[in-house]
Amino acid sequence: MKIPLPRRDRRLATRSLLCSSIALLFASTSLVAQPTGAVRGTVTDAGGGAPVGQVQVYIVGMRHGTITQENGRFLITGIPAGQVTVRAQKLGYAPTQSAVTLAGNDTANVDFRISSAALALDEVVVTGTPGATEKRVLGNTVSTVKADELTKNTPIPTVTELLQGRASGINVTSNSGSVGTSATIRIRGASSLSASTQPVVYIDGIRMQAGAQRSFDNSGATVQATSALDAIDPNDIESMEVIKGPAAATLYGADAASGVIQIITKKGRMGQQSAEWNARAEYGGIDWALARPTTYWNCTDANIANATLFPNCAALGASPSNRLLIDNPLDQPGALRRGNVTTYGLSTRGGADRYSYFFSFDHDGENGVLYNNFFRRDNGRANMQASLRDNLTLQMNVGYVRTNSRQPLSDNSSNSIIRNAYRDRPAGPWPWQAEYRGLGPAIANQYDNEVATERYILGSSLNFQPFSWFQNRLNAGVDVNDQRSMVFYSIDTTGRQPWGATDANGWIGYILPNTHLWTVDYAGTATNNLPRQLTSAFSVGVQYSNTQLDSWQATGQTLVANQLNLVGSAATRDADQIFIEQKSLGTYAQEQVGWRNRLFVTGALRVDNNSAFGSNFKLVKYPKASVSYVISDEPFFHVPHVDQLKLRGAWGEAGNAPAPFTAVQAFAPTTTAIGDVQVNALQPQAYGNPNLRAETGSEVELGFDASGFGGRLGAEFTYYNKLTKYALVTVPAPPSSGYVAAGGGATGTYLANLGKIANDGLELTLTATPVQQRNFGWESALTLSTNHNKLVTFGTGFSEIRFGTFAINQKFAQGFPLGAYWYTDVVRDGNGNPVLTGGKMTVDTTLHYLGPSTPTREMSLTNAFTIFKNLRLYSYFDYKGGGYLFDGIKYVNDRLDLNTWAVNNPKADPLTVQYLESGATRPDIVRSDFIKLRELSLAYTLPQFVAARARAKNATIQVSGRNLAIWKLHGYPGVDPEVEFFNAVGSNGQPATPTSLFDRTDYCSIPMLRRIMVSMNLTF
Amino acid sequence: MKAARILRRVALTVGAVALASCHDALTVNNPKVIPTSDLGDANLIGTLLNSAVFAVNTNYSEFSWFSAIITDEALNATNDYRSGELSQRIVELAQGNVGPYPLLQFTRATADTSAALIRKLVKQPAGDLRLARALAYAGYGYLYLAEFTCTAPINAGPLVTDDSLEKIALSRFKEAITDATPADAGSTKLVADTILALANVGAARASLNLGNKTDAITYASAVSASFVIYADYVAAPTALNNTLWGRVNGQNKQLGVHPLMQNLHDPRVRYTTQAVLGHNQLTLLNTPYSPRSFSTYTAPDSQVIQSYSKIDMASGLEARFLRAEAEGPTPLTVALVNERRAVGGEQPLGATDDVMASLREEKRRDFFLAGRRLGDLRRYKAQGIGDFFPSGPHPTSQWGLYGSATCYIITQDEINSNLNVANYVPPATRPPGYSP
Repeated sequence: MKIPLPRRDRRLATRSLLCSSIALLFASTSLVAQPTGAVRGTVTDAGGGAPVGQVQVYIVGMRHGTITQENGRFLITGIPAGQVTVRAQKLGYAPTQSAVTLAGNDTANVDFRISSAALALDEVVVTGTPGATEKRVLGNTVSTVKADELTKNTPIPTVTELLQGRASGINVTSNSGSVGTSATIRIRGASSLSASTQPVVYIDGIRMQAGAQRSFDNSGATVQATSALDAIDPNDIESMEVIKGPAAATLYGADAASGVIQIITKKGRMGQQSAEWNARAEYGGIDWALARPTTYWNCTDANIANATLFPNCAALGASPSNRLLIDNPLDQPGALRRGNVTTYGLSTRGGADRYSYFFSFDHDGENGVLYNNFFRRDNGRANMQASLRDNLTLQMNVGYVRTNSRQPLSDNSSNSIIRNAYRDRPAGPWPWQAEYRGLGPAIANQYDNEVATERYILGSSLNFQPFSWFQNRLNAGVDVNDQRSMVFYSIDTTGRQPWGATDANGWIGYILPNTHLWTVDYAGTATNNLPRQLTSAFSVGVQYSNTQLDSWQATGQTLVANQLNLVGSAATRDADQIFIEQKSLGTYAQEQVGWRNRLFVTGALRVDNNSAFGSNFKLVKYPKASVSYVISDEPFFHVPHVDQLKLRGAWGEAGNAPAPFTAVQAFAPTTTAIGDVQVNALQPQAYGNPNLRAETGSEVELGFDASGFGGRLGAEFTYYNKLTKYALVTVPAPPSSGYVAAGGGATGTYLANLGKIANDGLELTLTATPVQQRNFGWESALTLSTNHNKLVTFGTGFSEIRFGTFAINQKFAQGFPLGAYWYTDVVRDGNGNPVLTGGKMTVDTTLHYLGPSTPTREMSLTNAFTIFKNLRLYSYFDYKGGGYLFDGIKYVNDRLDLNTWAVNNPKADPLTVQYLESGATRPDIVRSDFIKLRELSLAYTLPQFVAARARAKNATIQVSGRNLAIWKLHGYPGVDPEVEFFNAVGSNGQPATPTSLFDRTDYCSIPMLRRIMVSMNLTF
Repeated sequence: MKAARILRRVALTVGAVALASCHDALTVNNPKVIPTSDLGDANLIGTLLNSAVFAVNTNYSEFSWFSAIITDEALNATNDYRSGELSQRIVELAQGNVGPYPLLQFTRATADTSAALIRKLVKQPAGDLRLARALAYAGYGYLYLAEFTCTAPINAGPLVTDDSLEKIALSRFKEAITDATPADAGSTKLVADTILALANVGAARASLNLGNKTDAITYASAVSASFVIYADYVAAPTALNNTLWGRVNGQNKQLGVHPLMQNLHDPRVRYTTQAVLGHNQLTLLNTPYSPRSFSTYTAPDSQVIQSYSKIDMASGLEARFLRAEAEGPTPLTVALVNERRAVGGEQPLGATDDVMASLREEKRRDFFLAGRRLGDLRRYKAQGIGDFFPSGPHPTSQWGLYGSATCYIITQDEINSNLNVANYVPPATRPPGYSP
């Protein structure tokens, strides 16, 4: 006799059936149910008593299990009568279990109070290993970002923000506060000069594009790049695993020297038995809360007498009392607006004995503070799993995303209102709009530059276990990113050609970079019990990836009317196409020997080939070795207050492949005019290097994982030392070879394997549960990381490469950090006083070392307080320090625009003014250390009876803020030391210039914006 | 043991499949480029010839710009202060690529490489007009590099002097003349005449720069007065535009007529009478109309410089000026000067007028913005005729004094990438009291 289900459970069962019928399309089996008994109960957090959803609850040794609903409740049916053990486990919590005796047709009640786990050695990771592997086995560290938990605490709109500060050693530099723009991600410092310093990203085992996406403009205008990574909705992510360097990434081969990020999306769980729906709505405002530009002009008598060059001074007349002019351009109406965010989402997850599913739909809409800045994202996801046979499981993951972003001109664009506000001279003249040096908002806001993407990420994973000792996994999938970047200049109606002569009659341009990235990844592991309590796991694997970039460009000039703005409507049209392909094939073998499940030794070798290698170079080999020792499992281990302790060490190598076709010396087609006839021609395109090979990162990491005080305190400590050999360096091709950009004046470049780069540092993660009471819980986490980076040697020939924007102030120099700052000063006497020649200071162009251009220390501190089960307060402080930043706009303002308070203060020391105006860079390269209150949120879970009125099992309302406060620890003069000058991306998706990966300048970028959100989350 | 056997088979299979598929699986293609190794195809001769022409066309209007801003032809109101320094005759490594050096080398190397590739592909160089034309353009590539820079390397070699570059240019022109001469008859005569004229003008110019006046006269005399060849530009696509168009139009104007070229009342040098503030919001610009050397020039009217304005890169008129300068104040020179003065609405020379000064004056008017002025001023200075570079206070008064540069220099990129020039130190060109 079946136990009648309560009404709600019947409703759930109905929903489950509906979803089941969809999922059954992918499953070849049908439901099987033999109920003889049931277990029901609730899982709550031991600290604060809040219900915990998504906990896996199952009967040990049986296939019966389920997942808790958001109100913590669960029900497992069909359990054979007798004594059974019920176990509850969830990522980040210590597993707990309870024995219960079931009589036939009985329903037992089992409640669990689970505690956050400071150390989860049995937690399974899938990144950097041939298959799912417990953390206790690993000799390297794998950081797990619990996205599901974080997105519950506070709205996090992008994957970039989800990564920022969540794990030690991951440096995320947001380049601009403009919504929809990309960030720079580095793990354990910059390990390459010219190959990607960004980690490779996988989503459910399928490699995905995650870099910056180029915008398009016909005049090289500076527009921040958008992000391919942020196409993924954080609300679809269960967790992210980050492996940080070659020691852990060896099995990923010739692309993984900068680390690997694996995104694991949410999935249903087999045995869940019911469907759970989640609805989410968020709304908020975005504003420029930090300081806005204020400009000054102290009108001299000479200014007042010159109405042509200083009309606003002339307008003052001779009155000596009103000589200082002050402007606040961005405070004018029409300059900035209060932006807003609207997001909503709906998802369902569930499953039965042999299938599971997760479906979601999300919309994210953000309007930035500039009137022509927005970001839209609509995405859907369908993750389905079916157990085709007892030993064969198929997982299908389908993600579809559409994004559309409009970006304003910013940074160094002459027509950007940010730049024109900073560079305003209150004395005038203002050619277009009061208080703006060039175009003001009235015209600049018409700038229409949009990047739209349509993205499919299809992945499948087949797990086959023909024998109990032999596990096979085959991942195959493709990431299709069809991008459309557009810029449109309407027909000039001012008669003054504000966008230039080329665009005055209307100009429309599209570039359509379509990138397809295929992944095939096989791994097989055979396990074997050996004598003397030894175990063996031998794995082999093959990975193949193929990246194709097919980019089309079409432009049209001279339009009939603004509404007829197709390229085909233009009087003169042009088209271009780029096709670039890169393929990689790698194979590996790994042997892992364990002893009594506490000591593990692993050795592996990977061999890679890549189509981008030079013709004189074929294969590259990457070895690895690691050891893990759970010493706390030893009988002799008795350290007071220490519950678990794992010692670990790893050494390994991984690579960075060069960009496609950089090895080949080549010419490219072009055209020229002979008379009025356009004819074909060829021009030098790529200098090439037949000896090109992948650079090799070699890393040692040592550390320990520990927990103590009954699981209330956890620590992960790692020391790493990484050396990059055969470093890929984008070096200028000698201009005298002719390999330079025709017409553009840019020097051509080529890749060479030159030097050695060293990175070392410490990483520490501390987790603590200081208070764990029924009605009050306090959880805290501190991450700390350091990085010391150095160019050990360039290799033959080079001693240094100098670069910088607005001033040469950065170098690649042996013995110093990559892209470090070097300053110039004025000539000084023996006492350090400036030497005056004819009353003037002279700049000594000698460059002096100052410090690194990126932070060398990072720390994040999160605290979560749970009060009376329903109230949760979360805070996140972010610290970055040890680096410097060139305040480029101040440098230019002081020296060229002469519009800062420092040079207009009537009481200023004339020598100080002269120093600022001299062009010496010393005063404008400043320590950029800061602390930010990155996130603060307050969430209230409504009482059950209130939620029930909305037919919900769980309802949460939340108020949250992001970028709420900043403390600049060394008085950095710019608005936000976090911004990064125009993140240039070339037409092939690679950095636009040899040094653009390292070029750090604060120049008229939009600072990080404050965001205040209210949100509601309902679970049915 | 069974497990081990199975596993070994799997491992071997995996490895074998991986290795066997390695070759094909990694085959890629890039139809956007052609490897240099594939350029040995005779069918490409025509395209390679176009490449030599392209090498000059694509940069010539920029050469005009760079020649103008460092001399007395033009004011530069570019927003980039480093470019502003160039027009102040301050030339330093810190200016990076804002100067003409990469463009000069691109033109030189592309034209010369094209010619070299054609030479390998033609069966009979003598009489092959394709090779001759490419060689003539290659000669101009060297000539421009010599006239704009005081010293420069070739193909990552050591620095060579401008005179050495002139000699290489001359050798290319001579080769062009040698190869074209056999074809200067019959059906190919018309084309051969053009190529010979192109090469002879270049040879005369290089010879005069080297101080070899006799050869300059010989080469210049061989050129028909009506000969002219342009650096060609068309309205579309944008890449084939005359870049001066964008510099004098639109809201961010960059180029204005230098005060030393104003108030001449000469139809060859026309400009807007209403000055406007340039892109740097500092310099007042009177932007030029199409000068005489542009295809869009019309004598009675003022025509805006257009995107399709072609620029005289070699002509019979230029040959006459070169010959006159080499000959000195002969009756032929006086006749030329008076002819050109008439075009400019000036009175004929008087008996006491300095003929050669007037010759120089007429040439700067006739070839205003045509890329000749820098080479001319350097030659006048080097040969002791006089230093006619602008000096003293710069017309943009906030900038202070002019510096002392007479040529452009190699770039930091060349120093970074070419060990043969690693120790290069540019000459100091800053005026007193100037800080970068």
